[in-house]
Amino acid sequence: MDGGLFENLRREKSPGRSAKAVSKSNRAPDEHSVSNPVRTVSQVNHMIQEALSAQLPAVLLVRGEISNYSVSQKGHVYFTLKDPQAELGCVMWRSDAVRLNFTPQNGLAVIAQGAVRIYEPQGRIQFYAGVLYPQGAGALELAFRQLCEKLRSAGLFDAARKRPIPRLPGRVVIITSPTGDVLHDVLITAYRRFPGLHSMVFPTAVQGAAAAPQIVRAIELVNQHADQIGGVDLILLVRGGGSIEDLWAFNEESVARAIVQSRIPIATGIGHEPDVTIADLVADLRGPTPTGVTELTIPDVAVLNRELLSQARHLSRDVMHQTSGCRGELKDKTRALTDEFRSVVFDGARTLENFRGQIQSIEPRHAIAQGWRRIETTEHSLFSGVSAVVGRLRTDLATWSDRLHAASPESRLARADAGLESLKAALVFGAGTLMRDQKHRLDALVRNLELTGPQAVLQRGFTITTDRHGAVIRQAAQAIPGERINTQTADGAFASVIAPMHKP
Amino acid sequence: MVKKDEKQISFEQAMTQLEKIVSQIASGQIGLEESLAMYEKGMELVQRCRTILDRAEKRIEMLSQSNGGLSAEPMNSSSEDQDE
Repeated sequence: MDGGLFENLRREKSPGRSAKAVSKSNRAPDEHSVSNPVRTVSQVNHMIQEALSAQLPAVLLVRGEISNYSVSQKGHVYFTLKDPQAELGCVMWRSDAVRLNFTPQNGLAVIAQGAVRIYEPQGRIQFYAGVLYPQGAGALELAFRQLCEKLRSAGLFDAARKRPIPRLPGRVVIITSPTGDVLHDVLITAYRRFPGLHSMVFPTAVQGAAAAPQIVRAIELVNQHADQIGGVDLILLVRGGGSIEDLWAFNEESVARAIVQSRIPIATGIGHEPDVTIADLVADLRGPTPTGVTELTIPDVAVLNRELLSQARHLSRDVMHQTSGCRGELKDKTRALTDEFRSVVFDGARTLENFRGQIQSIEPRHAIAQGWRRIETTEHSLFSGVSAVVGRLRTDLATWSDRLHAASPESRLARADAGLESLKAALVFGAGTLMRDQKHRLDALVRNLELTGPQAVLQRGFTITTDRHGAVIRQAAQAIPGERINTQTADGAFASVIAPMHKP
Repeated sequence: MVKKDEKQISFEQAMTQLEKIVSQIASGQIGLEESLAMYEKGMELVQRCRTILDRAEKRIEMLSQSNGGLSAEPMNSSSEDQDE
């Protein structure tokens, strides 16, 4: 029983009598007393309600351990808060319970914020809690694990959503406390590695209740106004070592969400190596310490310069290799080309010779026929000439023979006989000579013909080329590459296809 | 207000392009003319990267909110005496 409360009531309503004295006597209570009327249960409960409202602060903070924790069907939460000496029944409405960022458990130490009221219908005094704050390392670790699970299943820890850190961030914003060694160490480390770095410090609190909102605001502002400050390649979120309470701002859901939303990559270096906060888990890169994350994100330009040199060497070497390879190829190709050119020129020259050597206006069959006809004509005229002479000589002989016969003395006959004989001989001789001469002439003609005729030309090695229609090809222009041609030699003929020509 | 070298590519872009050029030439599948052009471009990129790396002007600023945005003030002491 709360003695203090009833003490006040007793003093006001019944100055003379004590409640104990009344219960011990056998006299019935005075039901019609004016100073202390008999009240109904409802009235008493209402009085208690009013006293509670009047006497207790509207908002109380109570520290205790949770026990008898249960959740009703409607989602309202019921539990008992206790300390070593006492306990107090609590209720938390569903609308407040869903805002908790951890699930209360029996044995958990908490601070409950709310008000004491009486549930009048049942006369039950309860603490109506609006907010619960987990207390002690155990509670914080639980809250940490629970938030981890929540964000992990939302995919916020997935490697796939993390943004790549630029190879050489030229402009870096450092979100940290402006006091202390951390900023100093980070800057020293960064500038030792990249003297040309442009760094910008956004000062915030890094512990206490104000820290999380300030960090969230810093990340948002940097993202929003990056252009104003010339562009930002990377945000470093760092703070030195401390307890889980000290680091708690980096386990707040608001900070985690701000890191996820950031367009600019964020690298974190919080506490010492074993400290892992939720900010570290959602960050695009985590370093074990502030200096560690600086080394992971700001490269050493000496190392980069060496890499560059190596790339430049590879490039030169490969290109030189290729150049000398090409030079060799070029030499070979030039040689092959020259050879090909030479052979084509020779072939061309020879073909040209062939063309040039051809008799311009002769058609072979026609020429041959012409030759034979000349031979025949010559033969014919030769024989007809000889026959004519022989005929004439016969006629003369007959005339002479007749005349001789008409004169008829024997001497004259004998002389005539002799004369006839010599005439005959002369005739025969003459005819023979004539024949021989004509034969010589014929032979000479034939030889001449042979020498100048097409056969002689062919014998000398020239050829006669005709196209597929049989027309003689006299000019190079008539030769169409790809066309089938016939080549006649002295003893025969062959076919070929015209190759691409090199015009001299 | 700080001006950025907008016309020139960043270190990241330069290194990526350079690595691509080196691997393409090393593959031996590029013709000679193209190789020589890429070599020239590669050397330009090397020079660009070296210019960025050899930059030595240390620049540290403190940011603060102003006029709904951000402004940067140079930190007047060197990084050695940062502790306040």
